Amino acid sequence: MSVDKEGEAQRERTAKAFRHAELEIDDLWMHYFSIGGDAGALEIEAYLHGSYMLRPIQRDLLDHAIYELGNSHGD
Amino acid sequence: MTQKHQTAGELPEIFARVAGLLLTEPVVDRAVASIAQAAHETFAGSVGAGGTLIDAHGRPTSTASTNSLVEEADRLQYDLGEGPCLAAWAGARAVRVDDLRQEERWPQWSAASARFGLLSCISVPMLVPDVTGGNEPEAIGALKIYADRPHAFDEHSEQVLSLLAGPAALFLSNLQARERAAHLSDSLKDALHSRSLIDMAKGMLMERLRVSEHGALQVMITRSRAEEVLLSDVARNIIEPSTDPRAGRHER
Repeated sequence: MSVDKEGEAQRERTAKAFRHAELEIDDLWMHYFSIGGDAGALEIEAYLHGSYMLRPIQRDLLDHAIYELGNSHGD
Repeated sequence: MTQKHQTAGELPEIFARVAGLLLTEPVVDRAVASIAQAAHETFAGSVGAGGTLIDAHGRPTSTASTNSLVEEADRLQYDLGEGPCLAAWAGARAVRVDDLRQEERWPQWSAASARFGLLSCISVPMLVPDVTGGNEPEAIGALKIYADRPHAFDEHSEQVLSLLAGPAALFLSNLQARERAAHLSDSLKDALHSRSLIDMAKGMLMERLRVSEHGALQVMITRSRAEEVLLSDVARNIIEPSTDPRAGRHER
């Protein structure tokens, strides 16, 4: 799998988790920022809508931010 | 003009008072009460005035008035779900009732209020301009004034009350913004603290495990998910291994 394909596949999984968790972008951005994320709120929104690509570390951080927020909401 | 209005020249003084209160006392209710008092004192025919912040669902979130008569008339409106304030807020325009005994738009509310001796009134929306300039101003509530005789107010009264409501809405929205900003700065402080912990732990893992930044992050994320603890708690545990990671289980 090429780097791009990998990134796109991860983006799709993350976007799905984002929709499932029903989070506000601002809340998500704040948590993503709190765990070390560097991209702006507009960039993560564009990434989740499939029109922007984040670097691998930022992709992992965003995915994990959604995971943590989704857990704290679901409990 | 038969109505005895105080001139708009006195408005700056009234606003100075309102602004002074807002700057020293960031409590919405007190601010709205002061604006209501200013409106009450501006109109010769007034028996009471009040301001109500209304949320997106048409529910009053905060209300302040010069006396209990206004409070009672207000409560009736929100209980009955009809009345000039709700109409002014929903329609984002001034609403004047010249004689409550003959008012047919809100029959239940008008009849009940007339029994308290309220015979005419004006309600104007408190409008906040859209910051992006792309949309219509947003109505955040209504400012209203009542009189104990019919035809106490006219078009000029509507204009003056609207003059009071415009800046009042801005003060109130600034106050809301300040409260949001205070909340934001608290979250930001927490976020910055958590970021620095995670950065520090990442650096320690890179050194200890001889891995890249991304590698260190992946180790931490894997541990966070496997142990069901927050990433910031994983970081805390890496920095100070004596800390019990269980203490940080997220049960928000």
